[in-house]
Amino acid sequence: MNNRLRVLRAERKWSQQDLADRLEVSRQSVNAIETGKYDPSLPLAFRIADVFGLTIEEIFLRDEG
Amino acid sequence: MSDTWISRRGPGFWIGAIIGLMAAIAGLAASDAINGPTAIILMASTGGLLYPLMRSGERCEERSGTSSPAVRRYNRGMLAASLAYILGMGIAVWLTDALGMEGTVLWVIAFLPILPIFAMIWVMARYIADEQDEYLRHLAVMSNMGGLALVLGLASLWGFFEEFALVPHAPGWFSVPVWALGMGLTRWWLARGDNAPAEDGV
Repeated sequence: MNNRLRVLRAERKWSQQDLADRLEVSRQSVNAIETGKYDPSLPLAFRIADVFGLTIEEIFLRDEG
Repeated sequence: MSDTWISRRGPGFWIGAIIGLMAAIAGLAASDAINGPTAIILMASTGGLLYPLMRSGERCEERSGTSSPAVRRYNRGMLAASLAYILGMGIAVWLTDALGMEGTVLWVIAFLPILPIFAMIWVMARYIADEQDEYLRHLAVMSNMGGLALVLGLASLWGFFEEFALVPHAPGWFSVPVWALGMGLTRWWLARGDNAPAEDGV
């Protein structure tokens, strides 16, 4: 699953640690999600969406094909 | 030794110090320069270095953003269980070697190193239950699966080789170090690159 976390973070000038603090997770988790290495659970995806004030679909994108 | 000097040392330094001291004590005991009980007391004393090892590991975790309250509870639980294991094993070996215990008392003594191992398993189970960070929990579960795979694979392989007298007997307590090795290797494999800076550098 692809995502726009890095772009959204950059727009807000947040570091990975800033986002991790807002989500109450480790920076390692943010890095793993951002790089597509780990897909978050639905509850965490909703928390990410809430932090950015967007919907899940505006952040996480289906894999093409 | 100041706090600053201690805090500058990484986990590798403390692991090296523990292994080096253990090897030196084993060498002294093997050459009869010290007797068995002295060697056990000295080996148990090196357990004190587990605390600075744990603290240096926690500082690395804090710097790399891989720490959590559950990780800190896990580190302390494992430290306590490891110290109890070193002490329990030392006392058990000394009592059986020096005092020649047998019968029911021997059964009780045999539990001295076993109970801390049960405690380690419980600490790991509690960590998985307590960890609120789902990615860290995912890593812990997958690492445990890696450790379990190594234990099951190696035990089956060695068991059949032993059955056909191809290899010498391996003691059952080897399962815990093998599990820990499998867990550590799997964790390293899964988490490689996780601590790298973000691609945008922030």
